[in-house]
Amino acid sequence: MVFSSLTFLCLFLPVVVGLHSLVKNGTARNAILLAASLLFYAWGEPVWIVAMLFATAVNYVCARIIVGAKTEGGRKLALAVGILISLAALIYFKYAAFLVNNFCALAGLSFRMAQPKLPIGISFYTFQIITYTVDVYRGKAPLQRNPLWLLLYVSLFPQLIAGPIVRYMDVAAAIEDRNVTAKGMGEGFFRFSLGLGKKVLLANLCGEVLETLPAAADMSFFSGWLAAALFLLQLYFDFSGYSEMAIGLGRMLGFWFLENFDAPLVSKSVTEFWRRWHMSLGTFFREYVYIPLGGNRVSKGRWILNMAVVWGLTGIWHGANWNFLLWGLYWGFFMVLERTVLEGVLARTPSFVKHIVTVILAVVGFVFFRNEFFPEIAQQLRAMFAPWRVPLSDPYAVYAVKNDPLLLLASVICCLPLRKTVEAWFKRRREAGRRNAFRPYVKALLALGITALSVMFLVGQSFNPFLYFRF
Amino acid sequence: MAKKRKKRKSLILTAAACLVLLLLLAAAAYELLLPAGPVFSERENRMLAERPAFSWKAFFDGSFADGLEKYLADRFPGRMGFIDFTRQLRQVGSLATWEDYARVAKSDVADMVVREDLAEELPMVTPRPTRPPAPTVMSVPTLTSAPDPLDIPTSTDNPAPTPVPTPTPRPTKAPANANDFPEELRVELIDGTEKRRSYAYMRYVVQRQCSLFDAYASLLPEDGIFALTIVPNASRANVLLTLHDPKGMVSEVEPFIHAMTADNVAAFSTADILSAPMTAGEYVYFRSDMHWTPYGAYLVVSRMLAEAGEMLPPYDAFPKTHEYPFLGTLYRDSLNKQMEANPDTLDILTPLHPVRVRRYTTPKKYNEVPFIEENASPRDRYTVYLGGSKGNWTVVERTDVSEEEIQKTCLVISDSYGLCTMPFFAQAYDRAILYDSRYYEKYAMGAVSDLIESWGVQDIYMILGDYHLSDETFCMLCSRQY
Repeated sequence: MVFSSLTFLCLFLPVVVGLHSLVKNGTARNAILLAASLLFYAWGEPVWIVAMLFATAVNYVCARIIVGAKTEGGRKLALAVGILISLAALIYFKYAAFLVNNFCALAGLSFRMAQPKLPIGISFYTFQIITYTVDVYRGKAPLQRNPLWLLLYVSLFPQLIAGPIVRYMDVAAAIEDRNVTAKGMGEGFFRFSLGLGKKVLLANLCGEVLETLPAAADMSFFSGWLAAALFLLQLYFDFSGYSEMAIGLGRMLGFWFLENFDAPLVSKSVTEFWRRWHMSLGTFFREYVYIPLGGNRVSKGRWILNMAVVWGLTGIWHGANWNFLLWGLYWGFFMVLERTVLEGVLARTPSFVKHIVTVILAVVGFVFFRNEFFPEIAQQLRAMFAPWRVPLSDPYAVYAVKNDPLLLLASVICCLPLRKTVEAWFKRRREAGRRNAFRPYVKALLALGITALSVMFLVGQSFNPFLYFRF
Repeated sequence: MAKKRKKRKSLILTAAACLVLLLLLAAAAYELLLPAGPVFSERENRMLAERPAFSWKAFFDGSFADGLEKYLADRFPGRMGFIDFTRQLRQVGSLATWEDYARVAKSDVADMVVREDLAEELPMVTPRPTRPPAPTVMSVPTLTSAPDPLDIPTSTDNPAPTPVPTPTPRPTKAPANANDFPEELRVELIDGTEKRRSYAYMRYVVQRQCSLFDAYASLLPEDGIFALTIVPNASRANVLLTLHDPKGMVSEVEPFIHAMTADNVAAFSTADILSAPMTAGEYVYFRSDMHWTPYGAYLVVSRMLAEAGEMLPPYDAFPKTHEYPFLGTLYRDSLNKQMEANPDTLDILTPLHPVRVRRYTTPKKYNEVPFIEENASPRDRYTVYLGGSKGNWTVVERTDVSEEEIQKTCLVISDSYGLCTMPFFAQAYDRAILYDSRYYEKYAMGAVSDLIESWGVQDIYMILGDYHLSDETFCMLCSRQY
């Protein structure tokens, strides 16, 4: 099930939030939430629940062994087993076909492995369960003795399918005992509606416009840049919208999830961009890969190697293909560049130039993300950077811009940190002793309006005229 | 007091959240609890999704989840209002002109993608063994008079229409080899500097269709003809008007059909006939609809009829009963503001003599329908002729002669493009029959070849939208119903 479906909005969400709010007993609340989360995951694809149950059971046992082990060797062994078994499932489902097929191609073998069907959310819940075992090993997180509550952490529906990657230690207390308040319900719903609007009103519509543009081989200079920018916008609104909905749902249910996006397109450097983009993934790789590798407290060469490993893994985490690896290394390259040769130059460069350069790097970077095959990447980059070899414009790009100017304008505006800016404005007014009497009304109207509009668009997408037999 | 007010205000957002959740739940409950039978959506021309029946099998294979989502969306209270509102909302601020849309509009019915899996299934049609084979040498029709170039048919929007050319005698075809033609038979737009490929048919697909055309032709009397034309979709043809320096359209498919079929099969290129009038600014295609205008239809039908030795009166001679403002399917796809401000004009013509229309449901049972559907809604005005091409076998007959005096009968095999040709065929023939394979029920009517024989059809005209030549729906149905 996804948040932007009518089944979720009209049935699942009201029923689960209603039941969860009405019940006061913590155990009963957890039971409701666990049952709802398992139903949420099983909806449409029940078979893959087994993989999630297996990963949870393995890590539950390993964590108990870690805590109960008498020797450091035993603790390390349990940790390694937990991590390896979790990763083995991820590698099998996500990367095995890629690895085997590339190996066979290199070895000249004709064997090709079929891509197994990918269990939804496996990349997210695998990383989450690893953070639990590692944090228990490090002593940062308490042991969860109730396997059902550990399963609740792994399967918690707000963040199950598309993150953010929530560390166990961030929600451990809330799983044991959480405070569900009316205010939290209202604030959570407000965040949820903002996320829903980003997904339905911006991401989906940007995607629709993007689909009308030519394929990479036929792109003009204009459509090359427009397609790259639209894809970045679509991905940003889709992903950040989903994260915002997750954060809002969490608030409604008494959980506090950390922010996952913080207006990354206002960044003035690649490093800042990645501090604002998919922050929970960045945190995971920093805490569980980069720092264990030595971080930056090593020789320069080793540090560059560490960066390559981290960014290579970041890329490949998004998908099992060379383009994702290239995409990750692209970011790693510019990050190393920024912290070495460009460090002095950046300090002297005006902010607006740094901002423009960062946005251009982001737009170009996501060309690698969007196109699966290298020829397509090359074709789009050629259209973007060799305008003398392609037409300057084409009717599709012109039509897209002329037909949807408000969507494009709204998308650019919504990339700005609007919510933070408005909250800061209200805060300044309050500190100046002025009343913000209209604030709750504005928020309520916004939440109502955005949700209503989103539902209308979701219903509107079902318009499917069968014209063939019309006449 | 102030504290209470502050608390009350902090709950406003919570109240809004509860209200939204309750409304959404109420909408779902309304859909799920009230009895819901099958519902047909007139606007979408499809059955709306029905409530899925729960079973564990359906739950585990995901079909229940899919069915429920479709059902909730299709039956959402106020759905059509939401659809209209959101589509209009997206057009707020749109600066796109009609020309912008014309350059990017896709075929609103089907993309010109040759589905090879279906093409492989296209049957080679064998002519009925009881019928005599198609004659190898055709008699040349004798014309009573050549058309006067000054009797150029005009429409209100066409100050300088293209003359209908004089029919030329049909020569015997030289034997042709399919391999002399390219693998892809292209239709191209020309803009003075370069050709722009509009679409292409696979040669072997069209070759299979040729067996169907030959089979039809074999049913005709010795001097009968089977004339075929393929009509480019307006959404493609209108691109011509947006080119910098439009020169016209060319098509390779009709010469191929012409060469590969029997001598009494003639293929006319609508692209060739209409490209000059179109580039001259004549009103042969609608801007807001996928179809040709009655005037465009007239120009092509005139040429086809000339092949059979029939001459039509000038376009302006046909009585015009109405002149509707018209916004068709391309408008409905785009909601383009410029189209809305400048709607098309639909001329509603009738033959010069009185006619009656009978729509047969079985070979002996029929309903009388009006030639012009006076009460057609603005949305469906293109279907004012005969109430649309639905129906098994629609017969238009002169009423100023007795049934015994009816001499000339033609069959028009067509999709929706055939509708506005009917005033012209009904003028040229005593009896013109319309057959659309998409709506034909063979179990009720029997084989079409039997009907062609029993109705004494002398000539057959096939008028196909370009997308119907390469896909299975029309020609494959024709083959099965033959």
